[in-house]
Amino acid sequence: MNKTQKSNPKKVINLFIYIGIGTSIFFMGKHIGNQPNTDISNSDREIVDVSGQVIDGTLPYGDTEKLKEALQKQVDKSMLAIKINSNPYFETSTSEGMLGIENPSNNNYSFQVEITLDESEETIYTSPMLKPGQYILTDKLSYPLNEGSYQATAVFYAYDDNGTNIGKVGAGLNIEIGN
Amino acid sequence: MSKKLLNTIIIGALIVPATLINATGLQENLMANNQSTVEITAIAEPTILDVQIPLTVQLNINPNQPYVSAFTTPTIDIINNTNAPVALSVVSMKAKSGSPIVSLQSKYSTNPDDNNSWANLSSKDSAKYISFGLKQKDGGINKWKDPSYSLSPLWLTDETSQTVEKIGDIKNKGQVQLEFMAHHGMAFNEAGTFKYDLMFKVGLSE
Repeated sequence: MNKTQKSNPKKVINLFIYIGIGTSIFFMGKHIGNQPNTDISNSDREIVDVSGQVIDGTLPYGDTEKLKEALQKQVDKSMLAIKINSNPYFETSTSEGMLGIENPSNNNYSFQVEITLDESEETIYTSPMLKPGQYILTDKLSYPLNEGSYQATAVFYAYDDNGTNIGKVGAGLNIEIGN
Repeated sequence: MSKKLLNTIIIGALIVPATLINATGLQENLMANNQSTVEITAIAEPTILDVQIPLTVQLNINPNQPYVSAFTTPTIDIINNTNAPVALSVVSMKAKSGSPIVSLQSKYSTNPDDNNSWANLSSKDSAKYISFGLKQKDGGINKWKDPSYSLSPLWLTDETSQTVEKIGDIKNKGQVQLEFMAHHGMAFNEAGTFKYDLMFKVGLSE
């Protein structure tokens, strides 16, 4: 009685082997079943009657000229004219200097000008928004500077009528502060 | 009587020029003593930079074209209306969210036949990396300050460097026409718009 109840290790191993072989055969069968049908004769395939928008010729991927025209229109429309004094002079850092910023009347966009020092990246001036046909002759800097010469960049931020920023253009300036 | 008259004339002829000479000398002396200097002040007004530059540029990649003609660029006109030459520079391009980041062209081989080339990038890497450069338009208007100057293709640096790279000096009242170049992948799962921040910069030519 005891002998029959005890599990025979040999039997257990065999059982696992059988399960393993069975599983392998099952998955192999499934895998083989998933293979694409390699029979290309398809002799029994009949034409299905379907109507569609069939166009003679080749796919229209190659019309580079038309594409170029469209891209050109877009870039030409985005041209921005800028005018600014390249060398504004301020008697002192708190006095007005001739900035000479103009938004020419032929522009499509308004712009705001921000001047930052090249070395410290400190913003020393922000202009009000200028519509096409407006200019600023003189103004004060918003940041105190000692006497000397400073390399700076004026960035023109352009906006459309909805206030969306369209892009920017930079102008290198030499700012001079007197004593 | 006639002799006396003749003598008077001769003496007069001698005295009058001498007096005139003396008078001229006197005048010179007076001028030397009262020397007045006229100061001439020439005021050089600062130059107004006057330039026209495009704000946005749309470029197109058509992966269904051969690699060499897959990239389409419009012509970029830079017009210098200033009465002086201006230096034109470009500040590195930076990708906006969702666009492939601007990388060095040397990141991958530029020979499309190489396995490790831009043209052989996977769809994952095509959406991740791109490289841009600028060149002057073949047969376009190129009014550089130095007529012998020709812009060699200028490949932009990695977008993280944000360096200012000089393109060239445009002559006064001159114009140049540029075009973009690109190295890019050819495997795109969907049509999309990639956006980049780009800033051209002008300044007086040094």
